[in-house]
Amino acid sequence: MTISISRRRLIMSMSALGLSGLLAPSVLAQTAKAKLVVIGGGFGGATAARFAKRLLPSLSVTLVEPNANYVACPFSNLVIGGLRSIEQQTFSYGALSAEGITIVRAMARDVDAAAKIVTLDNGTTLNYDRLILSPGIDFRWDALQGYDQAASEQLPHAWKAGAQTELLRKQLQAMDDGGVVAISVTAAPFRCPPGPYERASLIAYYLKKNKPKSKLLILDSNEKFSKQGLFTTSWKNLYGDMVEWRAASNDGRVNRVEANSKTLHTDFESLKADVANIIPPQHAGVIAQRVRAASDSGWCPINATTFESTLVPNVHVIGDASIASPMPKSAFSANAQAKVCAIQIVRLLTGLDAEATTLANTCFSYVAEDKAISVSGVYSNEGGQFANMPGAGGVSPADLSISFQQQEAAQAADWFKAITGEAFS
Amino acid sequence: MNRPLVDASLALVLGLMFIALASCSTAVSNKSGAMPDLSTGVSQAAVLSSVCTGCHTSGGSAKALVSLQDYSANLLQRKLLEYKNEADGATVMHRIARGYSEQQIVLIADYVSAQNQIQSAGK
Repeated sequence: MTISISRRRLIMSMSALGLSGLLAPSVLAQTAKAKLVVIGGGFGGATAARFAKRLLPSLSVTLVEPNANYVACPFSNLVIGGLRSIEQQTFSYGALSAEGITIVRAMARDVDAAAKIVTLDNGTTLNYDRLILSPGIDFRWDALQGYDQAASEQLPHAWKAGAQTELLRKQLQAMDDGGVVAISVTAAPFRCPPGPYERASLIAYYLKKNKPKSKLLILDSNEKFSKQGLFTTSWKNLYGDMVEWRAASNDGRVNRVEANSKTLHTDFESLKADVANIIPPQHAGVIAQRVRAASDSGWCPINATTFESTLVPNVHVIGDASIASPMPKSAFSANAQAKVCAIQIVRLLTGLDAEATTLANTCFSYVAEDKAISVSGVYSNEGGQFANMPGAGGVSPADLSISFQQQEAAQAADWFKAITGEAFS
Repeated sequence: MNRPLVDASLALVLGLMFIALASCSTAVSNKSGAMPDLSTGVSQAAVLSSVCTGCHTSGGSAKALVSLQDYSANLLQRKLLEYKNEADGATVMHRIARGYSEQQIVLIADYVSAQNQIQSAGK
């Protein structure tokens, strides 16, 4: 302890005098060979890879991602509402390659945590000193009766952006006026807590404009939801009686679906929808389960200060896959966690202790084309635990003025540019 | 953006200076114990400031969110303290600034303005 503190002081003092580039020889020998592998090229993984490489250019950084492009979930509800193209959601990894990050287009199949080796689906292996898992979510296809991958071609989840987003959009376009759109929301925790309700808002926006006799029903497995007061008020003000929300205790929980007839079964009712969007049960991406970084909950417990798995050493988990509550599973959280995690990994690789800090999150949700609401939080990650900073955070004011909502929509648009820029461009 | 922040080079000659410098470090540390260390990307100031850039770019085409590139340390510190202390403020920045201590705000303001200077010097 004494040694590490004095070494830290040493390096801090050096940098205070502008000698930040200098590290002890033993550290130098370690870092010259250091290898970081990042699994998953979303907001978490791409951002972490870039920050780690910038902080420590001698570090070998490899990003493992099966897809050639990333299709962003934030703002994809605007695509469903007809307000944005899927191309505007699509990002390549060209900027990362240009910065010296090795992009391996493959799926990680397994990790030998003892030997620190990742095996890819093409049979090749990658050694690492530190591994960042940022696999996002996968669906628990077995968890909602009748809802498997084949069923999702008729009842889209659209909870990973791309073809599914476009499928839901097309189904809404093809629906007759007077139809019933149903959204089934799984029990928390799931990716993007306000996402189902933003989606409801933007589908209602589309329906009101194009198919005003239609109805939108949200069947919820939860009793309450993110920004509930603000959403409910907005729905009433903007869409009248078009949107109906049913809590779990009000027979809202869908427990079985029939894909061919688009029928959703709750405890007491069967509802035939014209378009049904199923937001299904989720867990951390499959690779996290393989690595055994996920607990029985399906999500990955971590030390909040370092983001290192509490189950598998030298493996750090960020983004939706991690258990970071009260930080939500959002792109903003993943981005903030990626930067803090990259810095802590570089600190550890260069002989410094990890340092607790303060993180923040903001989730903007559109309620119409040019109106949005927001929720923010500020979090300490001291002592390996996340905690809300008292007195901070909260939602947009309840007495929503139109101009305030328009301002937040404009802020949301800037946020999307900033965060995708930091991750991909 | 590609500037090496922790460079793997070493001048051994400077080794003897270290002990003397280490004693200076207490003099420049602030109340929170964090070092006002603006030159390295792994300092507490850098970690705190890393969250800002999820929304605020340094340059570019932002309209509703300010770009950080034009902020001096004094101006940024004053703005953040205003956000923190305006009790009836309702914007996202009010809600966020309330979660940061005054010392953290000083670190962020100093770090961001130091990065601005590094960036403009690089142009």
